[in-house]
Amino acid sequence: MRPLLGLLLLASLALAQRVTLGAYGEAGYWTPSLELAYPLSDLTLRAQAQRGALGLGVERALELGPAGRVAYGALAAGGAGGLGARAFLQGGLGPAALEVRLAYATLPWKRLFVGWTDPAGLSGSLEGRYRLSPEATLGLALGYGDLGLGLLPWGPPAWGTEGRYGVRAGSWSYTLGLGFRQGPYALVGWRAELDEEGTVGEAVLRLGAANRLEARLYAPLGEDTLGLRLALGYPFRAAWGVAWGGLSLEGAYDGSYALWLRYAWETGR
Amino acid sequence: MRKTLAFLALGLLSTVLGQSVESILNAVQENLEKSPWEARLVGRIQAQDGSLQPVEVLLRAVLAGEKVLRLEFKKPPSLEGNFVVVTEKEVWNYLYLTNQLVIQPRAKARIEGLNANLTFLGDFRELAAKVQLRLEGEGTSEEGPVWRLAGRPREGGLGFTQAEILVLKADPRPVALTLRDAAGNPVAELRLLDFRRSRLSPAQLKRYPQDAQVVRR
Repeated sequence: MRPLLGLLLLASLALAQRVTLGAYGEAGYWTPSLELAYPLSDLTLRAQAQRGALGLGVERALELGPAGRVAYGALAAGGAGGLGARAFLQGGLGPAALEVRLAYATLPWKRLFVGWTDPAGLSGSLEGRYRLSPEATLGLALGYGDLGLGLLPWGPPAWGTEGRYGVRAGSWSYTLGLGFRQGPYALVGWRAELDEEGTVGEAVLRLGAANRLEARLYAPLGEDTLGLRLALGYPFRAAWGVAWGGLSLEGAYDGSYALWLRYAWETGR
Repeated sequence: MRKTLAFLALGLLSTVLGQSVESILNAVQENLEKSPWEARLVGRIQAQDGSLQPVEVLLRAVLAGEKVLRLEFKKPPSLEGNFVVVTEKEVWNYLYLTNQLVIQPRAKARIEGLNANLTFLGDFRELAAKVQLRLEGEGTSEEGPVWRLAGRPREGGLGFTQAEILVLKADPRPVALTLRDAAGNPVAELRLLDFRRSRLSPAQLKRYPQDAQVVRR
């Protein structure tokens, strides 16, 4: 039986368009992780596995050229004594963009796959953006669950809503907003293309009932992009990530540590 | 005999005109490949709903060596910030609102949204391979005397069934392009304005925000 399983695993790796292998660790627990993507006509089939849990999903996208793109998909996962299912729709068409995510699981999603931080039960989010003019964009988000900032849940699951108004001035853009999540808060954001190579810097500060700073920097390095991101919160929490080429390392701290190292191979299929 | 002579005359005429079209398109391609250039593509183009929308696109091209064509949308306002990069093998679509770069093989991609496929703008020899063009005659435009080329696609799927291109005689390059559907309704009515030679490199034309989500299809 074992040789057969080994052959099946090798065949599934060989046929995949993208293979991502990883190792995840947190206090008292570690697991290898495997993510596979298979192109099948207009569909992309996905599989993800970790110790004692397996998830299978399918995605499809409608490509509309410069006018936009709409992608949607669903995934079911089982193992670790529980089951879960999730679906998403994400896309933009002309001046409007919409992102909807819905998830349900009988246990915290992290036990089904370490990359998910959604809580047990029902969770989800709805976010819409509309371009009022070439320079101004209005955004509104509503959701229940985790903030999805890193490897560890960012506090207990909660309802949250946020409104944002973004203005672009050349290659810089600024965002102002108000939100409510266990209390009201305000946000201010900045994003800029910093040079002719396409380097992008971004920072968003939220103050009030939520206190956190998120910063990102993406710069070309060789043939690939170096991506750095950091989220710091008060009371103290942190999530960070470094990615370059297929290699990525993520970490998080919320009183305990978590670390996830991954490498992705693109086969070009 | 008369029929034979008439047939021969028609054959010779079509050959001469065929060669002219080929030589004109070759002259256009050689001229556009001579050095990098940029121009504004201004006019109206059919949207997904069938209506004609005002469109303004900044066209930048390096057509010698590594060929790259970049179309940056300025109008309609909803597409401002979006751009398309056409390379020899791929078409890249950057979507500003979702900050995504969708990369597709060129054979599969269409610059839709735009119902007409404009990927041939960087390769007029490819245009001749895809569209059966004939020389309709000569005319004048704001830029000066022009050749009028017209024709139909050799195969379907290009998004139009009739094409007319005005080519400037003094500096062989297209100055106007009209594409029509089977009913004769315009799919695109475009003029190429403010043409100028420019110092551009393929790397410059392939630039995109590094935080964009790259999706390969």
